[in-house]
Amino acid sequence: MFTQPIGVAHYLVVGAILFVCGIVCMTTKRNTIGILMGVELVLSAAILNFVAFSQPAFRVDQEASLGIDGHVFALFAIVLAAAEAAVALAIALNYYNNHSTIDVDRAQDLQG
Amino acid sequence: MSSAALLSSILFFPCLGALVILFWARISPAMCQKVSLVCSGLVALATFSFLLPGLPWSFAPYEATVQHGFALDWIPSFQIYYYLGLDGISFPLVVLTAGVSFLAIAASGTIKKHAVSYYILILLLITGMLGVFLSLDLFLFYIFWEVVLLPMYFLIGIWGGPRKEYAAIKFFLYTIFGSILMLIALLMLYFASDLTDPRLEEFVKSDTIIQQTVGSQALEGIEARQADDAVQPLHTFNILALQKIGQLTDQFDEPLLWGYSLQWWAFLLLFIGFAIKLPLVPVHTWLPDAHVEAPTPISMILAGVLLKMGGYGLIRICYPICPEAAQWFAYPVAILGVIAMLYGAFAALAQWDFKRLVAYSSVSHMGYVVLGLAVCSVYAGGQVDSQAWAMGMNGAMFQMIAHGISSAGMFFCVGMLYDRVKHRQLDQFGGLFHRMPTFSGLSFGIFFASMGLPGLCGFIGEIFVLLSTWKFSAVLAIVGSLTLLLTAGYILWTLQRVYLGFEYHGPLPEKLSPATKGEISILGVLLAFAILLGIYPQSLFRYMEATVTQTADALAERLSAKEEPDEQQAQLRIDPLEAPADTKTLLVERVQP
Amino acid sequence: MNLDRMLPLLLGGAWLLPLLAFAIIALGGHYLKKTSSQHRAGFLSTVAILGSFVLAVVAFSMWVSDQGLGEPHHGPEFERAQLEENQTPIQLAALAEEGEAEHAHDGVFSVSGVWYIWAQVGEQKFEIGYYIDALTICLFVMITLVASCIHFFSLGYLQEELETGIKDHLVATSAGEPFERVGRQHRFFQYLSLFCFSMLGLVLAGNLLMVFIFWELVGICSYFLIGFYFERKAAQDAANKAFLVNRIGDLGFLVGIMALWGVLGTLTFGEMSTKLAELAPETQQQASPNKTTIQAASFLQDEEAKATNDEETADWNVGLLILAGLGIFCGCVGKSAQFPLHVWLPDAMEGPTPVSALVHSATMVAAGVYLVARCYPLFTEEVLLVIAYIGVITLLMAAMMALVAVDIKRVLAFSTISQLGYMMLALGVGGWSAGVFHLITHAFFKSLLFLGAGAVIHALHHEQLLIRMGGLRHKMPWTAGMMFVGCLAIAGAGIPGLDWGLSGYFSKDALLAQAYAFAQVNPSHVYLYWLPLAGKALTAFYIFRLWYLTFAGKPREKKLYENAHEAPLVMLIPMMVLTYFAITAGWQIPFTPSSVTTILEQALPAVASFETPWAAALNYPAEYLSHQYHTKIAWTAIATAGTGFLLATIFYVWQGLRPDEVQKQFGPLFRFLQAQLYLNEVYHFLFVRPLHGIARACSWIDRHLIDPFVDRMAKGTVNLARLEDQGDRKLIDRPIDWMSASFYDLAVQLKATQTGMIRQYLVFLVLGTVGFFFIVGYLWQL
Repeated sequence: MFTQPIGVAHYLVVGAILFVCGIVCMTTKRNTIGILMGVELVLSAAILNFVAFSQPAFRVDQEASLGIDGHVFALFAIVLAAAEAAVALAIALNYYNNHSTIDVDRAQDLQG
Repeated sequence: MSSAALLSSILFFPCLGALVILFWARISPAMCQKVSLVCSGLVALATFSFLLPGLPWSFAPYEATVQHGFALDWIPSFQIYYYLGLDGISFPLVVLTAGVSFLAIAASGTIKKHAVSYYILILLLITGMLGVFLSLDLFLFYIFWEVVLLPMYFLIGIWGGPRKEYAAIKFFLYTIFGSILMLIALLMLYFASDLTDPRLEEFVKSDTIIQQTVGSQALEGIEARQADDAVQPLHTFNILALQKIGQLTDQFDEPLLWGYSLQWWAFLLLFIGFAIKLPLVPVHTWLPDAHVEAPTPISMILAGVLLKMGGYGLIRICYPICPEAAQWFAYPVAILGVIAMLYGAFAALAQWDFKRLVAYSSVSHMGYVVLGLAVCSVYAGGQVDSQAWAMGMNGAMFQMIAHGISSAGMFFCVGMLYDRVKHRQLDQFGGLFHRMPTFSGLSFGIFFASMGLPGLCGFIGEIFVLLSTWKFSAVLAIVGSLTLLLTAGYILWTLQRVYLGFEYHGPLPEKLSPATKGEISILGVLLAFAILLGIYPQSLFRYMEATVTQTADALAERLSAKEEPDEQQAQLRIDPLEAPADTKTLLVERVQP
Repeated sequence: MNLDRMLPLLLGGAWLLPLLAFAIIALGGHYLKKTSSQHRAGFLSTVAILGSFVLAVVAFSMWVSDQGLGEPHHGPEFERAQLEENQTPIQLAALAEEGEAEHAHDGVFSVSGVWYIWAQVGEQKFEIGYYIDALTICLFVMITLVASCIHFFSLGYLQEELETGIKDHLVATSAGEPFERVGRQHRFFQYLSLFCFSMLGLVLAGNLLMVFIFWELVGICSYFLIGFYFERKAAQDAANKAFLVNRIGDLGFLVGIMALWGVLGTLTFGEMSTKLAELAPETQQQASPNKTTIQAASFLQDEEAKATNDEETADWNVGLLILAGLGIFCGCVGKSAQFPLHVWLPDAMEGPTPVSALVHSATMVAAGVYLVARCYPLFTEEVLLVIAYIGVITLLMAAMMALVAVDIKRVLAFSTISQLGYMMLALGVGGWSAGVFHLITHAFFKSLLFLGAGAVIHALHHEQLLIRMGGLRHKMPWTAGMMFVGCLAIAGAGIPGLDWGLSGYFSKDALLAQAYAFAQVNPSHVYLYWLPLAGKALTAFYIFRLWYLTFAGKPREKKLYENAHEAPLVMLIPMMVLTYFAITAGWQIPFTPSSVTTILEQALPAVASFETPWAAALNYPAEYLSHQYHTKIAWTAIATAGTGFLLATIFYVWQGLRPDEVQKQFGPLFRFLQAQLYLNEVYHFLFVRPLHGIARACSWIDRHLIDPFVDRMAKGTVNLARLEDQGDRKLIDRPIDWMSASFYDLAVQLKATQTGMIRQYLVFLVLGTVGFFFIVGYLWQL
């Protein structure tokens, strides 16, 4: 793998590593901020994949398009992630105001 | 005043009274009675005014045709019209209905419970009964027939005696059973009827109501049919048109089921329906229960008018529409009539309850009606004696009116006693002649009218029916005349047990007060009519005889024509393209049982 | 004078006057009673009937002045018969045939017409009309005369009914005291007036249906009058019995009317004879032109078939005619108390005595005889023979019962039955005028006897038992004397040599002579003469037994005797009038050869002779032929009656034989007669109880067969509905319920996975996604 030129697969591997790191971070951290960081990692992995798959080699209608769909999606996702982070931080802040903690394991109010 | 406005206002005036009572806030029972009394009194006056000569709307005697007939669109897509009219058959019954209803409301003074609903129901009932007799559209007739049912159910079920629920439900179920059979027959007839038959041309052209409603359509159809074009059949609910179809064409002769024709089945179903209402043995057992439990005024209406609906249905619908079936059923029906006469009389003889006795006497008396209708005599050589039949039918009609008067009076007598001493056990009366002399005298008159004493109304119907039965079957006439003896037996025995004797030996003797003026006038009116009809029956025959005789004549003509295998007739009757070759013989065989 | 116009007017007026009185008393009776003049209702009624009498007499005199008194029928044959004294029966029969042929006069003068049409159906009319001939007029006079007398008598007899507190000793209240009630004289006169109206209407009636109407009306009046003392159970029962037994007869009458209507197509008296003539076999055409039948093509019938058909129709018609005759006679049997329907008349004596005199001896019970006389042309020979035999049976049986009766009114009642039997017999053997004549004379002397009995009962304060009377002639000489005349009249006393006698002498003589003539030409029916003759001895015996026990000898009950008194004048004068007629009714009218018989014979109907297929060979001697036997018969009759009289005298005056010993000797027979042949019991057992049984059975069927059937049907329907309801619940509802329940359970179980731990969710999410992709990837490869 390392001997081959950088291709989509490499990007994907990096993305997968990032994704797994994010997942691990989300599942192991009890701190809300930590989990949010995990979420950011997962989002980064997804964005990386968008960018990776937007290379022209994957397209069949190359003449007709600019070939920047993946990038547009990536930018979109980044904006979304920022918005999401803001909302999530607001939740965390409110949660803290109500419960004096940001430990997600103690947030069991939604239990069925 | 146009016929439409006149008849409709008579018909729906009681409903108006009911609305007044309904919307009159905090109305007292006495006021309810007054309103109903005025309302039914006006209706009675209006109907009685038809009897006066010289008025623009007076009913012409010796006239066979429909008077004041009119038709308005109701559901024209199904040829259903709001078609009302009076003729010799319905007019006496309408007058009877109005009169008896008025007296019944006058006799309702003792009703205190839920007076508002009582009077509303009774007024609705009057509209229903008038509607049954006035309507000449089969569908409308059926609607009114059902309209009568519900108020009666509540009137028995709410204001009745101890077993009122049982009686009311029994009444309702019996009648609804009959109604359903009727409905089937009614639809059968409707879908088999076709006004575009060339044989009906004359009728379609001459009948103003048909002209007014479906005349042009029918005439077009007739022309098309004569030109051998395909025509959609034009069904009808018009009773008179159905009668003509039954009498002039073979539309109801189609074999329907098990080798019997459509009219055979229609007759059977209709007959059962009407026989239940009449009531005829063995479907009569709702009557004693309903009567015993019903309050006095309701018993009066029940016996005085409601039973007549059955007889009216027979004479208006059953017989004229299905002549051949009528002939087929002549013997079974006549025998049933005789059985009802005897059985009712015997059962009355065995009763210990005064009201039950009177109820069974109704069964016995209505047997005469059936017998009188059934006597289509057939002589050898295809002659049908229309005279005997006309006499029987007239006797039956007269019997209905006479029974309406006498039985209403009898039930009122029983009710008066029950109101006072709260029991009806025949062995616990006696000596009433001393305590209530005027009442007893009037009761004797009423009971003798029921017994068929000459000079009172009960006699004429019985003698006419028996005389006509003699022409039909001497044996049946002789057996039937035994009823006279039995009737005398139970009436005299009852009078002995209740009125004669020197002392009253039942409970509450102190309550036996003499009759009030109101009670005396109710009984007096009934007795006056009983005497009038008894000594001058022509006063009734002059109104109804022409129509009834014409009905009998038309039927006899049809049957006589049917008897002769005339070539032309046969061709007219059987379309060789449509009917198989042996239908002709089938038809002929069916006619002669 | 125009008879056609005047007679209906006069007789109609006479007929309606009592109705007017009835209506006034019925409607205003209460008022009439309350006023001070308490006799008002009685007077009103009496005045009405007197008015009727006057009108009837005027009508009678008009009739007589127009039609004459009638001549005795002594045709040429009569003289010939007198010349040839000892004829053989066969000769006589030939003579009879000849006489019939010559004498068949159809010119009975009558006035008939219609007052109004009662009912009309199609072509068939039923009318209220009149038929007036000599018979009608005579009966009108007789009825109104007797009724007037009895009205006057009743004013006295029912005096006590004016009081407000009458003690009825025959009715004990629960306290054991005699029942006390308010008098009701006005009711009595009300019924009496209604009765007079009905009776006159019956006689005046122009057709059989109208006869039937009034026939029933007199029956109901009789019911009211018998039950006048309706507090007494016996009176109630007697009234019911009278009406019901009469109704049995009326059923026969009705069948007769129906049969007659079937065969003749008319019920009007005036038209009957012409219709009958059409029916007569010689002139047999296709009958009943009155029917408007719809003629159908008769291609099926050829001429031959038609001919046989005609013959069959003729036979059928004659059969119907016989049925009609028997039916009408059946009505007469009921009304005239003939065997076997006589049982009601003795019981009917429960009514007040004037009623027994008027209704149950003079008029109503005679209506049956009247009707037989009126319908005489309708009766075929078989029917007449039946009538004759019924008459004979009745007259003997009733006479024997009268021998043993102990109640004064019952003796007279049996005597009435017996005399009615005589009338029927007379009519049955062809003695039309003899029968009707006896009807009239009997009305006079029997009502006299009843009124006498009434006076006695009145004097003895309602004691009716003969054995408690006796010696009353000292106390009531007038009554005793007049009753003796009545007894002589009913026994037929007279002097044959001088041809002088009381009324009964002439009438009985005439009818016995006719019976003898009949027996002469029909030897097989000789008993029709001998038995009535024997009956005559019985008549004399029982009637004088009654007189002796009442008036002769010594008083048996001192206390009753002491209180007895002669009747007041208002009662005696009517009796005197009746006595006069009881003596003279049979006499010739002065200065003329005529008598009541000849007037009656103006209405003598022509007897239609039918060649009936079932006819026994009967010969009916014409009535005038029997005149030759009168003297001979009179002697025989007087001898037999004398024997009876002598026997009665031996028994009850000379005490030569003791009645109680004779009773002992004939014990069983005596008891049998006293129990009226146990007929009441037999009827009760044979008819009344089975009828009640059937009635109970019908009621039982209703309650235990039909009702349970209907109820079961209803219950069955309800049960079916329940079953269906159960099916609903078990088959359809339950699986659905189970499904929802199991989903719920599943959800509850799954709830455990909802820990609320967000990280755990995330793990599941990831694992799930990974797992999903693994599975998809795996499946993809497949």
